[in-house]
Amino acid sequence: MMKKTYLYALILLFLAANGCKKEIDQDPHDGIPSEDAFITPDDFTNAIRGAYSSLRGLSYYGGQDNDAMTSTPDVLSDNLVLNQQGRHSQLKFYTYNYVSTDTWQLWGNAYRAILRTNFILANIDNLPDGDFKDNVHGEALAIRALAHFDLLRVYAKAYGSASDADLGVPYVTTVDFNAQPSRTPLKQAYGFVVTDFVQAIQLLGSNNGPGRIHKAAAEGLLSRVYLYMEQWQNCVDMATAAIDDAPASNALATIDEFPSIWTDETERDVLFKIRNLDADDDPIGVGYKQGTPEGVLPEYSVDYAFFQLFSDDDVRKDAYIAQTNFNGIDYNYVYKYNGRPVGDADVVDIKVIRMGEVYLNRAEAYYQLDNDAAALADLNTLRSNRYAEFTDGTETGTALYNAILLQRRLELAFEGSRFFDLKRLGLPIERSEFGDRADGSGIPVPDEAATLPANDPLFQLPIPQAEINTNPNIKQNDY
Amino acid sequence: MKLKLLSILLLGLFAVSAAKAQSKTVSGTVTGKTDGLPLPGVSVTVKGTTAGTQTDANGHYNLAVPAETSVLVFSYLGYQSTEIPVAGQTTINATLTDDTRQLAEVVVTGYQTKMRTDVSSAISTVQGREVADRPVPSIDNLLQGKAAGVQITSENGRPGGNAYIRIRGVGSINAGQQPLLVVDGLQVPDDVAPQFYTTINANDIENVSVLKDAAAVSLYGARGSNGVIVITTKTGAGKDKPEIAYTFQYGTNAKIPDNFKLMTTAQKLQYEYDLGYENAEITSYLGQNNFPDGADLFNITDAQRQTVWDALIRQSHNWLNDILRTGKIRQHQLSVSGHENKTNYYVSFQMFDVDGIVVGSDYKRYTGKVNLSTQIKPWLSLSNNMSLGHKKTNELRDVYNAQNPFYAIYGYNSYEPVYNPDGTYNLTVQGFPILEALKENPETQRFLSGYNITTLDFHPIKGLNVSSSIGLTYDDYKRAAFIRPGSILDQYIGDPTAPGSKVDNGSTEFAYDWINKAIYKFDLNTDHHFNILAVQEFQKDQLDSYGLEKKGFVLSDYVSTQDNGAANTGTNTTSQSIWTIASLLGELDYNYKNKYYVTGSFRRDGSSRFGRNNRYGNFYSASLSWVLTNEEFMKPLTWVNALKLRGSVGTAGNFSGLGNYQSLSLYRFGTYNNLLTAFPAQIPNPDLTWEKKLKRDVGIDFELFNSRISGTFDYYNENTTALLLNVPVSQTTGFASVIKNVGAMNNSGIDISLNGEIIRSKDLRWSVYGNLNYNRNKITELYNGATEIADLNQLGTVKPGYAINTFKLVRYAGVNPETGAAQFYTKDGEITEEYSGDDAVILEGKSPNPKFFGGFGTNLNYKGFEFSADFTYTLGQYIFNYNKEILVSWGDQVYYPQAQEALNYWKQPGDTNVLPKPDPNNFTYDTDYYLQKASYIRLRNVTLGYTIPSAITQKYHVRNLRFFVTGQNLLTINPNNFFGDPEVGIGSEESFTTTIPGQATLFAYPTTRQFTFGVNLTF
Repeated sequence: MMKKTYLYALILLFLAANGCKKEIDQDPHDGIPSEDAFITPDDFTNAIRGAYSSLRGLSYYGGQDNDAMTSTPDVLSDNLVLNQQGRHSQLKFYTYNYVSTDTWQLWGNAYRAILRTNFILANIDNLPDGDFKDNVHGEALAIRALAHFDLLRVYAKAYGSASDADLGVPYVTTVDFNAQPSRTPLKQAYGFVVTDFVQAIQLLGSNNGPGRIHKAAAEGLLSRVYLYMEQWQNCVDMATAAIDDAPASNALATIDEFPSIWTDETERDVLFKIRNLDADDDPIGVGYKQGTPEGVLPEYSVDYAFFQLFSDDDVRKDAYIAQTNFNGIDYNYVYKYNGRPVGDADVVDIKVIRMGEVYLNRAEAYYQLDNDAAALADLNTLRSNRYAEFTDGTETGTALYNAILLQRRLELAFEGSRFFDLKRLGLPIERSEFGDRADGSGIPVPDEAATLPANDPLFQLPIPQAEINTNPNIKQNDY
Repeated sequence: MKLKLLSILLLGLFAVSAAKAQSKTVSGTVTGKTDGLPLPGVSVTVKGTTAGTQTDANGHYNLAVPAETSVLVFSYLGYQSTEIPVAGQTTINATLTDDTRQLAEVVVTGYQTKMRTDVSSAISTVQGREVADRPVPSIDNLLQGKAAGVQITSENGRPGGNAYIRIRGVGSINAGQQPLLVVDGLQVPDDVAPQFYTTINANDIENVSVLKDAAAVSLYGARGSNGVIVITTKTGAGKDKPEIAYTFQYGTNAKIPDNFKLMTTAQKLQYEYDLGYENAEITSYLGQNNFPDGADLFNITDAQRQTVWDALIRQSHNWLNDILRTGKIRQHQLSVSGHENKTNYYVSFQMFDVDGIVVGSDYKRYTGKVNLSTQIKPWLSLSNNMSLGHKKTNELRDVYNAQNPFYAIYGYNSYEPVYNPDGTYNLTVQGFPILEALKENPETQRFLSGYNITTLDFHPIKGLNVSSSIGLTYDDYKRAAFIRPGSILDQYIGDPTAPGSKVDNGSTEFAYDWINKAIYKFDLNTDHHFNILAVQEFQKDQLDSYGLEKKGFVLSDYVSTQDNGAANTGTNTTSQSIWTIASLLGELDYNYKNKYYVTGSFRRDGSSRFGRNNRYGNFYSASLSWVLTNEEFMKPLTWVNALKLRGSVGTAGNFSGLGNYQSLSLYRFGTYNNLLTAFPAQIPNPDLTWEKKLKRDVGIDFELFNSRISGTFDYYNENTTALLLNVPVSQTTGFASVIKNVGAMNNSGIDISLNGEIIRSKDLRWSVYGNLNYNRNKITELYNGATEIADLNQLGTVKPGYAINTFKLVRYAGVNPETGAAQFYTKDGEITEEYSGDDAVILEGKSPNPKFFGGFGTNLNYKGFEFSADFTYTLGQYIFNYNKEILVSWGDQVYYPQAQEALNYWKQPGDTNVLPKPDPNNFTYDTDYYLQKASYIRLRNVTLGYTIPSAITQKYHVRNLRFFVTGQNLLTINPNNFFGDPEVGIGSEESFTTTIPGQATLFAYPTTRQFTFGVNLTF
């Protein structure tokens, strides 16, 4: 009897040990092996959406109040004044006090997007040839180019002021987890951006729906790249292509349509935007203001000098700016990201390239090509769709140029353009002496941050220290 | 392969059982010498054989003994063994003398129970009574200062909060650093352990063993390297009569006072004026009191300004009083235990409520326990230990903003009223009224945690036990966070068209642990003693979690289920993950004449967590000890009661703190535009395996002068290799880091514990104890080519040659006496006014790791009175004091309250040793100015008790009636004048990127002080 017991005990042990062996292999329930991730067309659709979603990184287009493509370049420039009652977010950018350990963290965010495109591109031949493959291929290339271009705008010198020796950012085109690339020379890197966009334009479909890059969007983005590179004829050609190829639904918004752009009720004007839904839990507008029970509390007020440049019949004025009274004080604040008619506050899609900008790109390029007439025509097209009481302007020469730059500043206000425009134009940042209040009183920019001389090293943001620490081949900016 | 070994071993054991002969029966009664009462459960054995029995509840035994038997050995826990010659007698009564020697105690080593004399490893033991009846519901916190080499740091002062447990220093950088928890033989999964520490009732604990060296932990293989905490719960064995015990405790819970002062309202207003800041209260005062348009603080007359200030001073108040409160503590506990026939039982119930020091941090717990063991047949026994606890807590945000009440108390200015004139909450300069949020944004967490372990134990022949145990651990977590519609937070972040939102999330973690074990004890003639252990074990853990969120709720306190939300926010998630570990292990103990002990152990583990290339690992240990006091030449030294030298070497691993699928190349899924996305989730590493630790230890155990002085001394040296590091990679790869087995570190140090019984008389007993650990941590190697890993919190570094997390900061060089500008040292020691993160240097010798820690205390008993005091201390650690940086700023915090210290700033040329000239646009940089030494000694617990003489209580059929009062955290010695409380766990759970215990302060839940009164009543 007892012997039997031993026997059972032994059998038990053997069974247990054998049963356990296969249990040592456990596969996850929330992921698939990378090698199985690019088999069907749906896999590629998922992956390309994954690439778009990475553009919404919290230090990239999805940024809120730390660093954000939608607000940081405006904080860095002359469009905004710190609101004294706000939370003093982005103060380091406002006062040019950034250092490598506390800088714009775009770096990691943008390269994450680049990795996602490179994974797709490395596997693209798993798809059968055809429109689907070409379109996904084009989207991946365009996202890769856009991310590199954004990195160049932030961390490298302006193309126009750069020498051949000046460094850009590493142009990454492969999936390599051990890579420690050095900085691609700036002009070469811009060249790669152009190459990727050009190839993308050949591959992309004409309409991929909201939230995806289509042919005209890539053309519009490339017109911007050419503008930054001061390749005026290319810029004109690309802008023209964008205008010609854009679906009717993305044509230049009229005065009536314009406000709906910012509530996502129209696709007019919007060549490419990053979708940002309530479920994404990313209230990008809080970089500019928060709703509070005592009224809207701005983080930054609209600079009063800038505010006065918006005339009352400019549809952009009310679309972009509103007034609040907080603790008895009136402020002009950025209303542009207030949210949709229904849904979470401060959550809207993030506009990356609009038709309005494409016209301005072309106008500026025409002007540089001494084609004042064509420049004026584009400018008037834009202005007639923005001002209620507009009769065609007749500017020429410097007046025309200034009018183009003014319209660019107004049109792209609070859209992450101003700092980069001043930088590429080789202009200083000269902030007004107005304070944060609606009438221009209040506390202005501190003296030490009132101006940033043209081509100052602070125009190149420090590369995050984490990259310097891990990659000996990266040379830090002289900030 | 290993199985074969095991079966050979078992078969070998059967052979031994063959010989059996018997001839006569001896019986008798065993009593205790002091009280003369019968002793149940005494082991009666025939000397030199394995034959034996135990006394029953009446102290009676019957034992069939071989004819040639000469001597019976009577042994019992807590009593000295007695040998009595048989000499033809058939009735032998024995009287046992209490044994006060430490080495006589029983030590639970996890897989088995041994006499301390027989153990050649470093194990500290804490008795249940040392943690009983404390007003603190977390066992981990209660162990602080009790065991040498065990550093316990409270996460923060939250009721029911957990503690960081580090045995013999920090043993890992990124993997788990907590020891393995074993409860009643059951290995508790690492992420369930924190709930066990806070839901198991400390009063149910019989004892806690802390396994420290290789000889003790190698048996736990891949999970043992951080040490093992073995909790054994009460069984009821040894109780001669059923015992019903009731305990009641009631008391208060309050914040310990700050050691700094905030500016008074008048000081603050002047400071704001001097810095050119007009606060909103002033602005609205000017607007409402007929000042001309454009009037501001700086263009009105001095007299007008004073009027404004006076108005603000009149309305000022102390936010501490508005936000904090004194909480109540209530505990009821009932237990019934005893020994009936062949069954031991212990049943208990406890209710434990601790109110936090703010609304919304309450802790309410119910626990129940049933431990049963019974002898079914002479060769078969069954035991089942079950414990179930439910705790409900309210949660607060632990973040650096006014959503955290412990920042809010320092974040609202005294002149800002709680309410607006219309009765609504004042948003204040922080823009957020925490008092409203505590009511309108309730967050509750509920945990249901418990375990059950069933063991069937065969003991077919004397000395052999074969058992199979199935242990289950269960942890269910449910969280509900409701942002009520219309609440201020809702107005900030909610959807105006669908107000109110609610998150329900939670998880269930279930594990089973199947342990098959054989233990065989035998002697070869009288001098050679063997103890063989063989175990096969398999554990599987599954964690399932979910998260639901909706918005658009009805404005009501009661309608808050997900069904009442109007719209999904789209963040509905579930997840599932599984890990397994399969093990074979064995241990052999041998001793010669109870003088020379040799122990060897081996374990092989395989786990699903690791890469396909490195899935299995072997662990071993060997140890030796020599009991000198059993040598003839020591006999003349009668004042030496016990002296043992021991040494051990061995290996263990660390598999905790890692994701379950971390080695794999994975694509995971998300959404974009409400459609599915796929993206690469991590850099794969098929070589991923456990961290390996080589542990070496030599120690001495001694008892002197009639065992009045006893103690242990250990020197240890532990090398960890294959450290799991999140090796940062160039972010151009698309990732920030990859986890790899690289790097090595060393911990070496000493553990000392000493106990002294200064007075040991019938009426008066006075004893003292103390323990100390000195540990030196050094990183010895990082990954290929890397010289340093930056800390993600940007405060410290991990660099070979330095202690882990040594601070690396820019050095502050005081003010420029001419201009009042802040100055810093560059890397090269030059003075500059330009702050650059690149100028951070390693501050050797300054790290969050203490140089010394431990505890000491005393116990005094006089007749019915008893007094005990327990101190804990931690010396030599440095802490980055963000609280100070924020409250003693360089002007950028002018909007918020400041400590009076902030007034000591540069005012005129020539001023030195002052803060820089303050300016709202300054930046108070992280420099070593805010790094402070944080040594402290804290009077952790004082208990004063009185037991009514039993002569009185027995008239009322009460066996024992005791009244007691306790005080927790009554006194803190802060020799370095640390700004705030020097006992720091995690500064802010939500605001730091990584958790490095004791690295920095940031408005955590403060340490609290408890006073309680209690009664123990035993029938």
